[in-house]
Amino acid sequence: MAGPAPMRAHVTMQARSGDGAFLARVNGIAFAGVVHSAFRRAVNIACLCCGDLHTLVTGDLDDGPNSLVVAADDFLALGICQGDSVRAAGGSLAIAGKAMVDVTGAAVWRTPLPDTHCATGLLRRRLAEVEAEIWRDGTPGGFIEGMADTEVARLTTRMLHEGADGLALALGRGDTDAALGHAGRLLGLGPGLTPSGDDFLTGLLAARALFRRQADPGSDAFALGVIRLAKTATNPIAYAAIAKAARGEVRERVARLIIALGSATAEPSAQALAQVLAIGSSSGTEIAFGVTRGLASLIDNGEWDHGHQDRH
Amino acid sequence: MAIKTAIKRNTYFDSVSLMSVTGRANAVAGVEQAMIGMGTAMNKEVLQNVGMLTPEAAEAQSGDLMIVVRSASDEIAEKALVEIDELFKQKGGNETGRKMNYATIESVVAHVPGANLAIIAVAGEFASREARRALESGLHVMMFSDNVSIEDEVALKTLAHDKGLLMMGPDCGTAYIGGVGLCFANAVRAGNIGIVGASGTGSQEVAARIHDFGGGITQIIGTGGRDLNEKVGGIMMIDGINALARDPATEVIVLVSKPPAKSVQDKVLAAAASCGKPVVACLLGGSEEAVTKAGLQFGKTTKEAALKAVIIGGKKEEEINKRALNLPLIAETRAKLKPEQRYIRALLCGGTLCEEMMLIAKESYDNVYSNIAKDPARKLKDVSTSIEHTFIDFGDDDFTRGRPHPMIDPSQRLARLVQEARDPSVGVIVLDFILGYGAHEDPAGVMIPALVEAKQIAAAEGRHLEILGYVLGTDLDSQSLAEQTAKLSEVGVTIASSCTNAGLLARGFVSKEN
Repeated sequence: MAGPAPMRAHVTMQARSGDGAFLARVNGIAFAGVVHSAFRRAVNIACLCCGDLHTLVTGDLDDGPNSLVVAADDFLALGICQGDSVRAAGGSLAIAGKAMVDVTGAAVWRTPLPDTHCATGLLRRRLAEVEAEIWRDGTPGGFIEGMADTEVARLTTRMLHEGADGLALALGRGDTDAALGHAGRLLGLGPGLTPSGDDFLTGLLAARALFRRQADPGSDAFALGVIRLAKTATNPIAYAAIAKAARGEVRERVARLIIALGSATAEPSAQALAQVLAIGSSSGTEIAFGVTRGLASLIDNGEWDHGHQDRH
Repeated sequence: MAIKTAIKRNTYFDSVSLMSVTGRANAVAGVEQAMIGMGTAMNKEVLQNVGMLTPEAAEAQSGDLMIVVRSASDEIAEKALVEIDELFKQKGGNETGRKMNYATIESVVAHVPGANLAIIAVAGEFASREARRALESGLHVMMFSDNVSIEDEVALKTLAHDKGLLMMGPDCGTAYIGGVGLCFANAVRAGNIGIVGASGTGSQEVAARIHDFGGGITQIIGTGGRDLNEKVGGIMMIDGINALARDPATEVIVLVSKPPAKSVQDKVLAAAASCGKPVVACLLGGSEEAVTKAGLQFGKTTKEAALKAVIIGGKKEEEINKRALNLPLIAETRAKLKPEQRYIRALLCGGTLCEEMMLIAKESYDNVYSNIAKDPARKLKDVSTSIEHTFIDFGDDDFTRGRPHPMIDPSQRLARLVQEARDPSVGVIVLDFILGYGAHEDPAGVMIPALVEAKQIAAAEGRHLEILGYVLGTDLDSQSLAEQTAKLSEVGVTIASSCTNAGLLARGFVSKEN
């Protein structure tokens, strides 16, 4: 055998847990995709069949929709990059000649659901307290000014608040058309990989979906409308999060915060909020704002007072 | 005032990096304002409102990254863009993983404390020295290099054995250690079967068949082609068996090789028999009696070895798709060939694939020739000219001196395919297409024009020419097994499901017995 030949090695990593639907696809007959974007702690994979994004995240991150939590700490160190082909079948997912994920024994994850809801007065108090904590502990960049004292930053923050306030009012009075108008002004607005307005909508949609009587977006014309608008108004990564949130699917730490805020049997903890605020740069801050506004909109439009069907 | 724009198309950096770069960009001397954000309609509206929307930014898409800088002069703005670009390079973003170069093995050991295996792929005259350095530094070694003396091989393997290390090679092209595929290997699922192989493509074939039967692999330990030579004495094969015996994840062991020297075979089989785990021995062309006498399972072919290993490993036999031989296809193809179309011409990249198909042919025919035949009477004197049934290993030194392996460079095989198509005595041409790490990105695609030409040559002379293809790969390989087989099928290539089946089909196609 004459050399030298190209040397490429792949590393096999164990998936610790994963979204039930994604695991089913990896365990199924075949899944083909391509790496849409790669970061140190996350790899987004676009399915060649439907275009949906699926995500691998490092072991220090939490579960989420269409995600696998993998025993790895740096995907870039493995050489994974945009455009790499991805194949999965029979319990393994291979990324080009670089890495393989074995899902054998991975715990199945699904977004947790609330099984109780607290009284309206208690929720109002909690929302006020949490919102104050977000202002105090959140990261500047989008809704909170201060990252860069520039005309662009100031205008962006102003537009974010105008959109969020308008949206909250419209949702409170049940005006879907006006709400969608304001949501359209938030989509794609702001700094970051997932623009601030998109993060806010992700938190808002998830909170509403988890505490409405049905998480089916078909039952919420507003959620359905946002999905439609987001498809072209923002990038695929932000769109994927919005589309899932509208269906009541959101990453573990966000779901835990939402459930704790609305629960009759648990108290929201500082740790639960801190975990959300730690997402991305200012993304966690915008998501948390969205969560509080989303729950508040259910109070304002009277849905919170309607008896929820307990979900176990 | 000057406004300059850079658009990074379809580029994604994490939010932390974007925020960090935005902050630093606004701090660049002379910059009045820098905006870095995704090219969404709303972000463009913000730019419009502050008078910074340039024609380039207006064209940006929501998946593009916009970098817009306003400063006192063009020069400052340009300089700022360069600095911002530099900041992004530091962040890494979607660039490939970090690569470090070290001048010596000792410096790697000093700077990468977790490293435990060295791959040696330098010219043969330097390979032994580097391998010795690696072993003395406590590293396992995989030596891809060839042209290493057998005395050096024995010395290195003895040193490795004494230190409790693996010395895979020289001329070791396939390994899969601790979940890492090295050099030429296929993407396979993890499982409970370990392989020790003295032949690279043989190990690949067994691993791919195990995967196809629903099993999985723990490790593939390569030994190098000469390990079972009498002078070497199977040092690495025996150490490999013992390493797998100690590996808690490995429940079944498969040995893959050509028949060893008798004295070496006895030692290897004794080691396998005493390792405490079930062992399937696939010694192509070797003695079944010797294997079963040692209390081991005999795999006559790579396919049979893989099937036995998977069943021993716990897979229910009735749940396995065994890829039965397509007997009606044999009858159908025989009917298409003229009486004078009597011969197989196998043009193969894999040495063990060539060996196995040749063994299958020899069970039915005496006139089988090859560039790798052990029998001098059956060894091709001129490797450029086929005789009767001819099996060519294009990976052998005859074809690779000073050239890349045919798994990387298909040019010689392309020319030979057309040459064989012109021969009216040829009934079937067999080709292998090897997928996986290190292999060509599109092995089927590069052969398509030659395949079409070969078919056309035969058709113009009123002959049907059967071309039989075997794609050695798995559904996890990056080249896409499905796409590769589809490409071949589209141009009339018959697809075999394994090396073993390819050998049996080829043999059957040209049989003239009723």
